[in-house]
Amino acid sequence: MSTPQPPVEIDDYKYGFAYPERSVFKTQKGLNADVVRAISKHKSEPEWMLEFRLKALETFFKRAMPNWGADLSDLNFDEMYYYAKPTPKQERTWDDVPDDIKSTFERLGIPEAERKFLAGVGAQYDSEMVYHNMRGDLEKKGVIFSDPESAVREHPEIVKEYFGTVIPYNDNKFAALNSAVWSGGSFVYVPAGVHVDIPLQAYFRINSQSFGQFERTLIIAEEGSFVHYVEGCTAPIYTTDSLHSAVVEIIAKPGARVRYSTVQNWSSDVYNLVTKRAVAYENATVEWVDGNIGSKRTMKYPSVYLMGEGAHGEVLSIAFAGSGQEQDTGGKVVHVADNTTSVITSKSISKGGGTASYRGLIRVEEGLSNIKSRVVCDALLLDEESKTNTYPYIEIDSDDVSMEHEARVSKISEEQLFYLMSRGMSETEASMMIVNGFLDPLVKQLPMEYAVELNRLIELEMEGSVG
Amino acid sequence: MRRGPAVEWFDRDEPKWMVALRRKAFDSFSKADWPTPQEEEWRRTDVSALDFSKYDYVEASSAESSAADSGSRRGKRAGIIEFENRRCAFSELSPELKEKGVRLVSLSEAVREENRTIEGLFEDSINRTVNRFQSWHYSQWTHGAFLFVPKFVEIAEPIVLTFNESGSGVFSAPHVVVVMESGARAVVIQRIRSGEEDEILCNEGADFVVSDAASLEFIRIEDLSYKSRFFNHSRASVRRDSAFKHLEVVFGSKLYKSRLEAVLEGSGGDLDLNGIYFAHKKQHVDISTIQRHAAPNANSRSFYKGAARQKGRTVYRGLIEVDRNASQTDAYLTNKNLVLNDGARSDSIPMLKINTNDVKCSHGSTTGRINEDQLFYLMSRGFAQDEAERMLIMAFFDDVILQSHPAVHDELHETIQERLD
Repeated sequence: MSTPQPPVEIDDYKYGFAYPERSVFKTQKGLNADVVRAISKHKSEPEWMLEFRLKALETFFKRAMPNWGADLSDLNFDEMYYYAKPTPKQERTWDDVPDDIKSTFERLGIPEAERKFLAGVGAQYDSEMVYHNMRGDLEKKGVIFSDPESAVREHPEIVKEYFGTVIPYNDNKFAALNSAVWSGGSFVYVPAGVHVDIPLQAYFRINSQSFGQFERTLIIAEEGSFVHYVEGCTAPIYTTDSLHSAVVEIIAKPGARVRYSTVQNWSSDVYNLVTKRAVAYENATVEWVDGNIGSKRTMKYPSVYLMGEGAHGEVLSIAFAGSGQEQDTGGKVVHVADNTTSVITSKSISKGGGTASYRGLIRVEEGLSNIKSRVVCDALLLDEESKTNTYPYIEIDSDDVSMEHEARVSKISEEQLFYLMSRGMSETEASMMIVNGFLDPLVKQLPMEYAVELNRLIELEMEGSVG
Repeated sequence: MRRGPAVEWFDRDEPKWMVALRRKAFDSFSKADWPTPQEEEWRRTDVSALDFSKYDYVEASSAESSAADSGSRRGKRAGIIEFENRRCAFSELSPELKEKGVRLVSLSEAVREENRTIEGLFEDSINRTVNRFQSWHYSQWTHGAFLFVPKFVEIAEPIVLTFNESGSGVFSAPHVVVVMESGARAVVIQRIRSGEEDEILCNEGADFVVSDAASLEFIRIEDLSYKSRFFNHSRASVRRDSAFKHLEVVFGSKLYKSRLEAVLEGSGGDLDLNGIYFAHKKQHVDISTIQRHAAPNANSRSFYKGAARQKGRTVYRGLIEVDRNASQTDAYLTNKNLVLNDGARSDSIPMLKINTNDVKCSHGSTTGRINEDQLFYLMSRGFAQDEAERMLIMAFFDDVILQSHPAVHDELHETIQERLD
């Protein structure tokens, strides 16, 4: 039986609050080599990292904007701030975090979640991680969970070996931008055989106006290990646009399993242009669970390269496009080895004139045997003016392949509505239940507290969409 | 003889309006660049290495083409028009149909007769050209066929259009216009082919008008030599309560690139876009279909099946596009590909662009090899492996072939059989 929905204001974005900006260091507006040098100097980085940044900056300037995907014509790189440091140093105890930042994250429920559900938490405020903490027992087993800056200082040999290998700085314009001005993010290293049984979490918050957040995450799972990494993102609503352009690299060594879950709920003025890619070696599994609820424009296609025999890649993508939003999301899997399998499942909902697009790729290289792949895209359109697009690219160069793809577009069916309403539900409750049912296969994949959060977000988004 | 696209091409014996249209198309041709792989529709077919200026623009010649044979005049038919090297060599239409007002003539003749339907169609197509090949076609079309079926005239037997090409380094740009008035019905079979040793650059175009309650089935069988290159841009306007069925058959050409855009402009329209393609040796086949719903209550289906063998490569891109006002749309698209050996390549890109919610739209795509269980079953019944494989490939294509007019079934079976040997 359904429980009555609590009354919620239409278009309520409960994370829209902001605290006055009090950065201790902030670069000038716009982007040039001096800004990059200033960031690097501020972080006291080794020379190789500065070189990497400058090369990337050059590529960023050279590369054209993508001529496909979401409409980015209003994005102005000169009007952005690329680096703002909120606190003089990173804290390991919650009490030491400055009050306004602390209350920001407390309003988002982060410390509470850490106590209840998580093995470790990182919280990023504008450009820097302000807090990182992990359970002591995991630390003893050799698990590293820190910001990438600390990793560059403390574990340069690991960082140097893997940094920028999965996503080279010249991969695409936005990866180049991130490589030039990256700041914050997470560095996760799980030693061989270690099973991190409850999730690690990072929370990203933009507080400043016209700000660009460029976090950089690198996850290395050694042989036979397991880790589940969860990220959440929010920002206040300003009149000017902000940019979030992250790079996430995952390396899953033989037999490892990495699950990366995102519930992105940026405010409606954030451009979210993210490059996420994983490599999976023999018998490794990489799963992306990607929920896109917020932002003005999102372009994000988490990908998995199946490099070793028996590797498995999975992308589960949920997108919710409301008024003024364009969610251009999907997933990519490239099969490079025999006996590899992949599944991409996408579910999108468009309402209030929003556009949800699935864009994906399945690629099978030449001469491989026993490849299986399946891609399913479901789109739900809640009203007449909303839009949905599907662009699945399928490129097969081998004969021993079984590749299936299907896509469906539908609205909430009258029969289902009628059935539920004849059982005594109001139209709103019935629609809600159908939408929840539509997303259920994905929501189930999230950790409990995220599933609850996602359901709640969708309830908020759905308010007033029926009738 | 002239080489490369040029403006002198226009000093022909044509009415002023056609010359003006050719000039207009030539203007947009001159302003545009050849498509590059940066453009989505050309990402998988790179034409940058081709030198289009090396082709000869020969006037229609009276030489018999090497592909000519009387075989195409076999079988029951209501009318036929045959072109040998861009010259109209033969045409015939049953007197009964002539009486009813059916016209089957060369496009040049129809233009000379001041047929203003053609002017309107060309004008519209030229205004909407999507790339340089298409404006090239409309500025330099070389020959073509014109079929007009008046109101409520039903033609039971097929109308046959034959285009035979021969020569080496020859440019050919045939154009087909079919205008069906309200309630008219017809089946048209177009064959385009050349001898094995010929090398043709064929840039074809077609305009179809299917008026209210009319029905047209159009079958195009392309079988040019493996040295030839073939480009096609076709447009169809499918109006209220009418039916348009198109079958695209790809056998020949080293490079084959086609784009068919059918627009359901009136409610109650019914659209079927079917196709079979078979790329072997080093053939490159790149097909685009667009089923656009611009009016409510219309149905459309695309059904394309292809096989790639040896170093063959196939690309199929199929779009279902539903406009904001096209409620109650029912659209489906199926693409199935067989990859018969490693090194053959098959890309499938089914797309949806849906701008309203009261619709039923879906697509399915599969790519794989011959089903092992079926193969095993046939072999256990005594078929040799290659025999069994051939049967299964034939059965695979039969799903599409059997949807078309029976007049082409035998011919398609024979050609596929031949390719498989």
